[in-house]
Amino acid sequence: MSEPDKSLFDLLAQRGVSRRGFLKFCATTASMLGLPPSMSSAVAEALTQAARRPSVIWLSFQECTGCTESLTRAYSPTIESLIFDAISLDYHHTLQAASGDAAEEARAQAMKANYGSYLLLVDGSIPLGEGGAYSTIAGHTNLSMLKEVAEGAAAVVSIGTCAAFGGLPMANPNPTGAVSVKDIVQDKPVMNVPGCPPIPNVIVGVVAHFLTFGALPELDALGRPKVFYGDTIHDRCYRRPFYDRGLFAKTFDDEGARNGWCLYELGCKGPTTYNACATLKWNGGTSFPIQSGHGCLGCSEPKFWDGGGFYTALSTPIQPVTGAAVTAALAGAAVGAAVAFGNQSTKGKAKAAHTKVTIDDLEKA
Amino acid sequence: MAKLNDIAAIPIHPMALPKAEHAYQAPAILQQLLAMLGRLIEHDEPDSIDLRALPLTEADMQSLRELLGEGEVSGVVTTYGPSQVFETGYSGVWWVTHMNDDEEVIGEFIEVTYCPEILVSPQDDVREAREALRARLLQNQLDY
Repeated sequence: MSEPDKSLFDLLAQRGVSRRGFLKFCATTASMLGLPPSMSSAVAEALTQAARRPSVIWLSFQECTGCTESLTRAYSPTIESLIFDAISLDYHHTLQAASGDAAEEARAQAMKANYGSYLLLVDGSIPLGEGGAYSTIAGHTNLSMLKEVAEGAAAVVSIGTCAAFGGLPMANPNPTGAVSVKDIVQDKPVMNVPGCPPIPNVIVGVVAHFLTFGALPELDALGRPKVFYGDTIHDRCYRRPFYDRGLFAKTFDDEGARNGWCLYELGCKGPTTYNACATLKWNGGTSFPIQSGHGCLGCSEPKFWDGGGFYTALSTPIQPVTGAAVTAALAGAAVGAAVAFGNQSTKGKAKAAHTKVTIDDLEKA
Repeated sequence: MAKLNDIAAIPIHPMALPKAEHAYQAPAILQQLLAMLGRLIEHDEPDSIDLRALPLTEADMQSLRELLGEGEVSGVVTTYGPSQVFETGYSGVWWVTHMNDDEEVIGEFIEVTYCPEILVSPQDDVREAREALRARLLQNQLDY
């Protein structure tokens, strides 16, 4: 049996990991994939059979390398274990040892050897302005490289808000004519993993899901995996009970802020932002922006940069809700929908009359 | 340089942890455990809660630990890093914490079951053990 044909169970057994160890691995993997604990046996089943170590090609376009920085902070599994055990990362500018012609050659070889079955990960938007001259790699425009590599991919994963929705480069007035991966690749399954950057364990989680089940997880209307982007930050926020009781911080240093009340009035975009920050958190599960006292910026949503001020409240919050928890939850949901609608109109207005944000704008809020 | 020194002089006041009365979510989890115990007793269906999939504060976790307490059984399974397992004060409700080799928590569950699977000897291991013991006895017969 050649190395790539072994299942993950065989590889772990070879390293002295026992059956109990495998059980533990499956339980924690199901948790990492965002699956309920009851799916642990399905994960075990898949991992005992899985006999692939798929080739992964990572293309970096108009980006800041923040997504790669995030990826390298993944801790369960670590990026090292993912690279050495589970995938064959054949091309990644920042992480590969080869450079120049050798790097491009590695990409060409990986594409040829795994045509039709490799996984393509992309971070960064694609500039179309000036014939794509704003960003080129080895003499190729991002557009031509994306088209060429996507052609032979089994699936494409857009890592980060730039690749998923255009992100910061596409913000008004979009000087480079930036577009998202989905604007270019339309004949392949494309999964969006937005965030600026995405949570490290969400990046490895979706890759691990593909490895485990051989398919992309279930996606929402914006092409995001529901397991990680199924709920809003607000719905999963530990400060939510304060929102339901109408307790809001009015400034960043008032009594409410010190008591950990809801940051809605300080511009928190939690109610309109779908992401897993409130549960998975950052830095190995240490904290997330709201826990650190700052509202959510909504960085994983389309056009978040043009959606009005970060410190402008989404809309007037509801009056304190009293009574049964059910009433609170229902009211919360209704307000959520209203807020989402209100936010769309705010975004529209902001877009129509786009002006530079000054420090005065921030202070007004 | 003077500026840098000034920075060091800025007083830092760490915020206190959220107070115990801010542990809003622990009661909801207890309700869920009650329902799960019902399913275990009536339908023999074990179940578990992935604590890391819930937006729990440190106060929630602390209050949950205090409310559930500790029962008669506790132990450590050492495989792929340590896993701490203990039965809570409520029989059939187990707290399982999985750690990696660096002792970082990689999974934390409350399992509602008669015995957590990680404690039960795997059938294939038991079969292998029987073979190993047989071989050992056979070897001993040859030796003596």
